[in-house]
Amino acid sequence: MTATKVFTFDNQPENITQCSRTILGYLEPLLTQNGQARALLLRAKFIIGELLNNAVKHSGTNETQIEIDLSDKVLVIKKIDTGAPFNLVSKIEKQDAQLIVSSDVMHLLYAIKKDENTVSFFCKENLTFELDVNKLAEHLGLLIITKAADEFTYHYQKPTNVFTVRLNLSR
Amino acid sequence: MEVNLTEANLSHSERFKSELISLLNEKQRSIWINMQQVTYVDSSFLGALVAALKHAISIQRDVVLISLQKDIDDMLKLIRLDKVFKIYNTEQEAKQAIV
Repeated sequence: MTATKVFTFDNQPENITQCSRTILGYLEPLLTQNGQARALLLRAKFIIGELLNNAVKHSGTNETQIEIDLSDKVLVIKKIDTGAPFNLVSKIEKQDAQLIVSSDVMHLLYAIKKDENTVSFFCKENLTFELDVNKLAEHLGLLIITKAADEFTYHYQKPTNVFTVRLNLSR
Repeated sequence: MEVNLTEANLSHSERFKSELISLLNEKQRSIWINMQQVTYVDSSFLGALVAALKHAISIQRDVVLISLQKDIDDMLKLIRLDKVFKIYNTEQEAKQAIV
């Protein structure tokens, strides 16, 4: 089974809830039909919500496309816009080099360069932290997506930004 | 206090953060937040909770979360905020543990 659909979001914060519901309303029966657990839908919900937040905060454009692509093995969610690029791609010069995107007492979020135009995010947990509340991050969007996703990448090919999230379907 | 929202997201987070910080300053007491009605929280709302917790700790108070729905609990666990906040199923449970 394959299904693809594109949703347009107007980047207005008051419309996040409605847009997210529309996308999840499309996705839920497809995933259920495909025998997928509620946990996968919940991860998709977290991710879609954060991609829409990201659009409101950072796109600097009037609209964003959210593309949903479901196949037998993977659910792919893309956020596409033509706003200002995320400077990570230019900041990391060499392939396979990595950069800390954000850090706090519990997590280190990295970006690693995959090719000239693409970075992939990954996260390491600090398992031996001593809790200091003042060292907690308050900007958590990329961290949530990275931890909820099986793979999370950012690609910039002028003038288009594409965040791609992959969720593997359980068999 | 009770959060009278089902979807606690970016469109409410700044106001929520200001209200929590004002309340902490005004009352000089810990805040118990009942989240029973909330079915979804996003990063900006969680960021507001973290900011309020930092402020509360700085004045020797606390922010306590009560009656989280499973999806919210899962979100907190995903980014390990369950290790940061005191979380209770009911106000009764919180009272027994804290008071």
